[in-house]
Amino acid sequence: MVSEENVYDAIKTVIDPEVGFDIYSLGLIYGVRVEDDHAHVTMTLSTRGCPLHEMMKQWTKEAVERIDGISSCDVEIVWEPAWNITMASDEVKKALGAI
Amino acid sequence: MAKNLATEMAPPFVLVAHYFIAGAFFYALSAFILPFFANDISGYFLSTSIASLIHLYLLGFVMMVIFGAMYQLIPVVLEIPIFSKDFAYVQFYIFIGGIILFVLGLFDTNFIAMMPYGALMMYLSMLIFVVNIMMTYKELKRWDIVAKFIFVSNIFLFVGVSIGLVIALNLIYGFYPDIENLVRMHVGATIFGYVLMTIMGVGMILLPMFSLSHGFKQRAIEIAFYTIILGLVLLLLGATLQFETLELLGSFFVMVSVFLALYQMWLIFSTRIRKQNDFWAKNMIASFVALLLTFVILITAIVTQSATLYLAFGFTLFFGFFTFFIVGHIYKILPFLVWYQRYSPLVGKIKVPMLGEMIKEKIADVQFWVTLLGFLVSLMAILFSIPLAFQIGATIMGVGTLLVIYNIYFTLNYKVNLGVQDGE
Repeated sequence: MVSEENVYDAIKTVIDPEVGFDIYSLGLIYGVRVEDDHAHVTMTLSTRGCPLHEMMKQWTKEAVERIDGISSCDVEIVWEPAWNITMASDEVKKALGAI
Repeated sequence: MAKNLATEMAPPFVLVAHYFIAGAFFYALSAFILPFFANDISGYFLSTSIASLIHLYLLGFVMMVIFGAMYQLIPVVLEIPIFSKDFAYVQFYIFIGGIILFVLGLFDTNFIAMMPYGALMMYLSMLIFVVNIMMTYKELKRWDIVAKFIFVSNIFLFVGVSIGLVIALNLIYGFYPDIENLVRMHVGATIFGYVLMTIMGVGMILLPMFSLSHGFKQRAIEIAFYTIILGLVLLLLGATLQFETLELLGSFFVMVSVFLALYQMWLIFSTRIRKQNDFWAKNMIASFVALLLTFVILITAIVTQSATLYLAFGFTLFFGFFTFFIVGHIYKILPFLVWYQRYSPLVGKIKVPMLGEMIKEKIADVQFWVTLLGFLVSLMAILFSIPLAFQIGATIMGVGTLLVIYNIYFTLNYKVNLGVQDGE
């Protein structure tokens, strides 16, 4: 069975082209659940009204569905809790000038 | 391929590109002719030659880019499809024809007969835009502050261009004696009612998005929304009734609104996570400082009734605030449009470029400083009435414009070796 770690690794291949970091390092992924061959990802986005909104969701779904052993993935976008920079990795914070 | 509701509702890239490329062309044309206006800086503010330059710059560059950006942003931000993409194309071509006839007619008395036809074409073009936006709003489900600003700004656009048409026809047929009165109404409705209100509205999306700002309150911009409407209504009413106190009261409320909007922008910037002062951040800071300066100059102009200060006010608003705000966002929006068109279908299949790679950052940075220098030299030249210094300043600004054009060209032609065919 595919582990949650495998799903996180797949998600790390999805890059936000504006910021230049993967969406996991940005802290946009709130949770991953794997049930048999189905994955469920809960994520947020840095800004509402972002033109990349639906694309990011789709890229995440496609990246996870490329894992051997996963046949379907649904991605849920949530706005609570709202994303903030403390959720990002230190590397991201440093690159953005937040620390 | 990703089904992107917001971006798929937007018109195709080629439509928005029409507006951006034409905007860049008129920006370059305005920059080229600006140094030749050196002798006008000590002249009468309402000369037809200055009016031709103002309209070339405002209609050709500022509004052209705003129209293109609105067609892209409205579906993304308000999550509603544009009512008619065909209308947007028709609007574009009528607008191009109109601006050429109108500006040429104003600029050279030999072509004055063309001016009313140009004005009529532009009026028709703007009407198509306003109708397109109003019909688009029929689908709107969420009236947030951005939606309110865009909606009301379009009402002022309709009022402003209607008065503009009356002014243009009056220049030929002379049926109304008090043209200055009409000009004040036209300026108030189009520049503050449309351009400024649109920027205030979309700024509430663009600034937090590009600076990654969160957790700021937006009470200031909400108050600014009602204050600017009150100010503009009083201003238009005062000008119509020729009641100067009412006009001054209206101007006061418009200024209060601008200061509230500036405070809001400061709140956004103070909570930004992206603290690098890149070319976008520098352009934003310069634009807001220029806006503040614009209104300090305007207050002084109203108190002193100095024609020079009124000219400096217009110059700072146009070549300071509008230029820095629009150029900064061209650097952000254009790469996204090209990227979305050319590379988004390839995400996950090959290594696609980052948006930042699609702009020559060093050139954008040099361009910012060159434009700022040119702007400051030109402004000083206006304030001290030195035509030669204005020529030098405007030429330096022209160099900055060329650098912007180069970057636009670079973005539009950006291609990585994918081993695949690019195309629509």
